[in-house]
Amino acid sequence: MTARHPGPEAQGPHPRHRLDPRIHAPVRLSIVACLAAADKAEFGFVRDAVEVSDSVLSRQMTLLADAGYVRVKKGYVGKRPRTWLSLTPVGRRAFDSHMAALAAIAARAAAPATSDA
Amino acid sequence: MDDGRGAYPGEGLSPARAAVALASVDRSAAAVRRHGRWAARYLLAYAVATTVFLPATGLSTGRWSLLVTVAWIAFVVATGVYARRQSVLRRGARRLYLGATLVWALLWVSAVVVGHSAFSGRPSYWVPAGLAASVPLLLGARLAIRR
Repeated sequence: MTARHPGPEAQGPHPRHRLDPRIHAPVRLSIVACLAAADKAEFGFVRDAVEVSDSVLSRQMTLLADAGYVRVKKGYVGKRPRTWLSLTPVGRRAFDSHMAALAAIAARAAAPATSDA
Repeated sequence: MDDGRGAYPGEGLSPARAAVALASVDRSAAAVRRHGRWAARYLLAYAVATTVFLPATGLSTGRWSLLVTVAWIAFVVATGVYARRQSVLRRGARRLYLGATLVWALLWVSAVVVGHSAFSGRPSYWVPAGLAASVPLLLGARLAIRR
């Protein structure tokens, strides 16, 4: 008796359908991943961690903030203006779901392409 | 990596490319972990200061008492400036800090009230009290490092 492995077709809808288009772009994924690991992070820190320019980060932050995924808070440390970024609960849920979908796709590398050889 | 501009996001996203995306997420999280270690150092500094300042508060009198108060204020200001200059707060660090400092504050106030009413000038009380009050901060620092 041979063991039968379910092929990708038998595993339900492809996990790519669960990917979030607002997070999926590489730069936005890195930004959201950075914020997911933090309670809050300063704009300059995220810019350096993701290795993008101020303008690129600013543009991506606007998209994420408009989607309700990121909260932007401006303030001062002494006389220096600072912008703090944090993930909203909605953004955190979207990131977790996106990560689960990515992990499921990555796991498919180990799954056999057909049910029986 | 896919740019997500297909008919649906991730169209054509292979398992290998998904693994690359997951690796980039790990790198971002690692950067936050690296720069977020300051919270553990901050709690550790308060723990060490507690073992010095709590006994000093209870045992000092007159001019020494004033000196201890000034030194404590200088310490609080210096650590406050240090904390405000940091650019990232790791996930869960705020809750950890609030929990540890709440227990620490309760222990500090209790130790001072009991000490001044029953153990005034007795190092055998104040030194262990300082060590005991530092425990929640040490535990907080340990948790902050391990997370």
